[in-house]
Amino acid sequence: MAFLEATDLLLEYQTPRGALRAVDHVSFAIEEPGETLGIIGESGSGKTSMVSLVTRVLPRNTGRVGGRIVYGGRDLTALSAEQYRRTVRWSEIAVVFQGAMNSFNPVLRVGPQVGERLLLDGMPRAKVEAEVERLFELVGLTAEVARAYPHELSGGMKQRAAIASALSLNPSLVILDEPTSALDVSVQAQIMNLLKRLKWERGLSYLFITHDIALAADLADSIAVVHAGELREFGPADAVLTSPRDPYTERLLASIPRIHGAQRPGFLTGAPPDPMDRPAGCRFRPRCPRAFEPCATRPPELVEVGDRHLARCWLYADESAPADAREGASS
Amino acid sequence: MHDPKRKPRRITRLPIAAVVATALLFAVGTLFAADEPRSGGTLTLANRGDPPAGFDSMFTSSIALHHVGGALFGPGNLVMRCREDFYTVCPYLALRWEHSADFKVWTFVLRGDAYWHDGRRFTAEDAKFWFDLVFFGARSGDAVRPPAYFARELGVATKVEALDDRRLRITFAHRNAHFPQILANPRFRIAHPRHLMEPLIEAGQVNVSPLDVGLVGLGPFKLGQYRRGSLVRVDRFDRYFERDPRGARLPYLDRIDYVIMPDPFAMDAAFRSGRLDGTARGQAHFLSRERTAAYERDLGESVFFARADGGNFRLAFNVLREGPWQDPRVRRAIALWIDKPAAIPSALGGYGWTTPSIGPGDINVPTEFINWPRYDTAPLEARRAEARRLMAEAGYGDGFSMGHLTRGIMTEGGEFLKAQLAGLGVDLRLQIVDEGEWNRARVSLDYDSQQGRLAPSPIPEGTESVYGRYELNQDAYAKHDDSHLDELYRRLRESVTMEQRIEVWRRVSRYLFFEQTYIVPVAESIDVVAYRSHVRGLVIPPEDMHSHTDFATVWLDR
Amino acid sequence: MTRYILRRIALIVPAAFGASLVVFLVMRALPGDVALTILADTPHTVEIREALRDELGLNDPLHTQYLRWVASMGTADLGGTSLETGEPVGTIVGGQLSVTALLAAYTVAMSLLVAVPLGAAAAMRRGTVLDRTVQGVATASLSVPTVFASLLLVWVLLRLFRWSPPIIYSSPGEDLLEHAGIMIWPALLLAAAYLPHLLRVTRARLIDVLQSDYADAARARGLSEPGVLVRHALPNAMVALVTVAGLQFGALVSGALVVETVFGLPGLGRGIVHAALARDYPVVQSAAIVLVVLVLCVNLLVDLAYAAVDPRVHYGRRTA
Repeated sequence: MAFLEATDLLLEYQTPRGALRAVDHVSFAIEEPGETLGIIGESGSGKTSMVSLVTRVLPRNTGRVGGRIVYGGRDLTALSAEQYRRTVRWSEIAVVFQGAMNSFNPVLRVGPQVGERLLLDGMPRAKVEAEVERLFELVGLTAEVARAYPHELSGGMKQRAAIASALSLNPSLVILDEPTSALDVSVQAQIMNLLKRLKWERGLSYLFITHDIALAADLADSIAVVHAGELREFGPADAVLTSPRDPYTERLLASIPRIHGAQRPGFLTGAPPDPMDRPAGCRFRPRCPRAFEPCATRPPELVEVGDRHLARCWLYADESAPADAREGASS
Repeated sequence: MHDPKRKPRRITRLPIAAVVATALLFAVGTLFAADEPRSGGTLTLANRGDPPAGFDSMFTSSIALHHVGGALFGPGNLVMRCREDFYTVCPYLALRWEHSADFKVWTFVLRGDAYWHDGRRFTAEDAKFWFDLVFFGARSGDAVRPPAYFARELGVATKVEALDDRRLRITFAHRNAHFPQILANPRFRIAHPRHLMEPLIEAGQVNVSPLDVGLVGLGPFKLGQYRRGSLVRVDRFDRYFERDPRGARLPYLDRIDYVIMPDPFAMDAAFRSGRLDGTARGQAHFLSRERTAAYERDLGESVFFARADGGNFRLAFNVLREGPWQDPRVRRAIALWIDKPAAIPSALGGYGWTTPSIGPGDINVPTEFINWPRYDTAPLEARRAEARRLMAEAGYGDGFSMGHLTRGIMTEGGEFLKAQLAGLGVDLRLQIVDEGEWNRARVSLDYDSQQGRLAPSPIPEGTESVYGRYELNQDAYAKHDDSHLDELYRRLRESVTMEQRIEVWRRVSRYLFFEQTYIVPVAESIDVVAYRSHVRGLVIPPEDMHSHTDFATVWLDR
Repeated sequence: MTRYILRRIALIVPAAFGASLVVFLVMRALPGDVALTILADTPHTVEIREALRDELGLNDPLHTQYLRWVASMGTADLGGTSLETGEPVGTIVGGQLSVTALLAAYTVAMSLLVAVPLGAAAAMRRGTVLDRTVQGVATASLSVPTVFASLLLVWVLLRLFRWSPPIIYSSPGEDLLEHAGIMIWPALLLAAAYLPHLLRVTRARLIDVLQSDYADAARARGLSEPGVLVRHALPNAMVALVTVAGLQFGALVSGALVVETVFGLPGLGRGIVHAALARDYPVVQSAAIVLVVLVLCVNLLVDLAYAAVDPRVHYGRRTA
């Protein structure tokens, strides 16, 4: 039994134009506690929506929801909202939100917000203050920060405070939703180091959502690549990063600037397809440099392309795939 | 309702303006109800505003003061107008009086049981203090208090003496044959307690007002509470001297609440919902036909209306200003042209009367009654033909344009005159002004003509200030410089017998309204107030609802 | 902060003086004077009128009258004595101010008590029948002028129930029940015009805040929806609420001036109208200054309230 296993997740939003399928039958898993899964995709790919099914913070216009999430042997999808809130939220699974800049209420002091859940659970104020101080120390903040207002903190400090907040109930799994995307590169590195340190010291599992495959490479044990609401590729980080099978993953990797080597970064062209009007067949086909005959008509299925390594591409599922194309994909 | 043993002195029946006519036309039925009066209760009345000038009756004759003044300061002076007959003088603070053979020296014997609200007895010294203030004003260092505005009406006094505790003597520079009758006018309220005011005047506060000393009066009610802008509450004064015919002490009521309501709409709502026992007095608060109909619809039998002469609505010329109206033929033409009865529905809110109602043949009118409306009695068509002839003769056959000062709260009057005179070719340019400007402009020479309603004055001598020469009387209604009127008023003052006075007054009014037509009387207005039927014993003389307020005999039947 | 407050208060003084000069000149530009108002119903002589004018100081040069008035503004009389009634202006205007200020305070309190819960309910159930009803009523209520609404209310009460609001004003100290009885109606009417502004901003602001990242963050931390509302959304909406409450205060006061007449309240509005018609210069002038200062003070309070509810706002400190 995996530590976290999400099977066949489905999420639709209601829009004036009709149902929008943001998550389309996605499955992923974290095998062992302490391991990190990176979910990589462009904005609009559905990665944040996938995670919202785990955290159960769903927007008001949520429509159909499906799938099963088993965490530590418990079926989370079977829990009522209240049960989830009491037994899982923050105590087992905490979140560091996308854009930590805005994840603090600007008119309240930082400390009470970081310790909000502790207060809510009935911990005396003085004890909460001490606990917040301890958490701040853990993430490299001074105690005075607790009395500051959000606007008085730098982006990095806010991010640290958000991490401190996520750790307040000592969860096993922390969901990191683009935790560094709004930060300067140098600050980004500091936060990544902090996250690595915490993972190592406390045996934390992360569900790390990012559009930046390079960051994922830094932290993740396994990687899921999503595109247009679908899982494109899933497998151990080493396998995915060194021998990507999906042309999409390949393009993402190619876009990383390298200090050594003469290779110029190759950029992804085009934009993800309109979620209300996705192309028939493979959803990546309009942008795919290797598209061939079946891609336009039939949607590809996930196929096993290595040890615990899956990819959704006709290159591996169709006999008519050109050999050179397959070669290129693995180079 | 006063002591029947005291014989009222019937003096004169003065034929001024429309006074008597209205008295007879609109006698109020509930004045003296046969039922036994009951004591107690609170009467709630609306008052149009806060009394101005610190309630000082020597400087203001505001209706807002008079409405509460009757309760606080009493319905009379040394004498009062009898409740049964407005034209008869009854004793009030004086029990009896006598005069020297030449009518120059008047001696009053005061009653011994009148008290100020703070418990001090009213003495001849108090009366002397009041008359001295009225006639001579006061002086302390550089500070000067002018005489009362009505000093001249009372006559030119040379000396006021307190002969003893109970006797007061006033000496005049001239014959003053009708002094008690003049003094009975309820405008002259004694609101000035010597024992409270004199020390302040000596200390330099010459303009001390009744409000400054706590509104201590001699009337049937003493001040309970004055909440500025909201309420004047008066409570029964237990030491008030008047008694009813059964010997019971007046007043009957425990309390009167005068609720200050400047807004007639709010007053209407409050009355119709039963929160008021009576409406306020004052222009715009007096009721129109439309409003009385609404009252009746809501309250049916439980409301009644008291009506009184509201003064005449008229057009006055400023002949001191260049214009066609300086020609008496033009003024006469305008007087003849106006269809006077038409003013009642349009300009007077539906209540009023005009010439045809009164005449020598009318049984309600005393034969000696002399009244201005009688001058233009020909049929309208004939009058209008004559008017056109006069205009042509004066050289204004094509008409002309004339400015007209119009009071903002009486625009209907202006509109009426404008519409009427258009037919004669006179373009009446209405210059509508607010109350502040009205009060200034009506005594100025800035306008060609003006409208107005003039409260009736039962004392012909008192009319010089409104009809006399502008140079001497800047409050004059029509602006002229006609010294013949000086002469007529001098003769009026010197008349001793009633016949002489009537004769001179006839001359005055004929000259003013007909021969010269300085003023065009249009119609006599009627002021209407409403009371609930449980309000009994009310005295509202149909001649005067402006200054005559008397709530001593009012009781509540509920 | 203290320096800032002192500076703001110091700025009120010249503003009040500027206003005083304007009011003074406008009043003097109007024809007529109070001596004639006092003597309005009395046949009088020129001497009496001139004596009265002398006594009232109306015959002095304009600058003398202005300086005399300004000097007396510093005393307890607050502008000398009323020309019409002879009472100290301070007593008159003070009494009127207390009525108008209480009326405004009741209106604000009542509006907040209704607007915040209702706005919150509408925000949390937006799109529902409740939300649409609340919004519809608010819009309708905004579009009816206060004067018309007051007259309509009185008329409807009278026609339907043969009832009208009480007429005797008592201060809270004199008779609390009577006070409440007469104040409730005008306060309701003023609230009908004032409350919708607060309701709208509360609803709009709460909807924003409830959708914000930090609200989501709070939910993710395990706060219930009411918890998010109370702990996060309302404190945040307060900022906008205070802004609108302050901005609309001027309109509230001018509305108060209107309803005072209809409901028989001896407040500043009725007082100014009456004094202006009577050309009672000191009363109009001082009352106008009092209104100006009142609105300026409320503005200052609102600005200070910002700082209290929004830590991002600082006064008296330069920010980089």
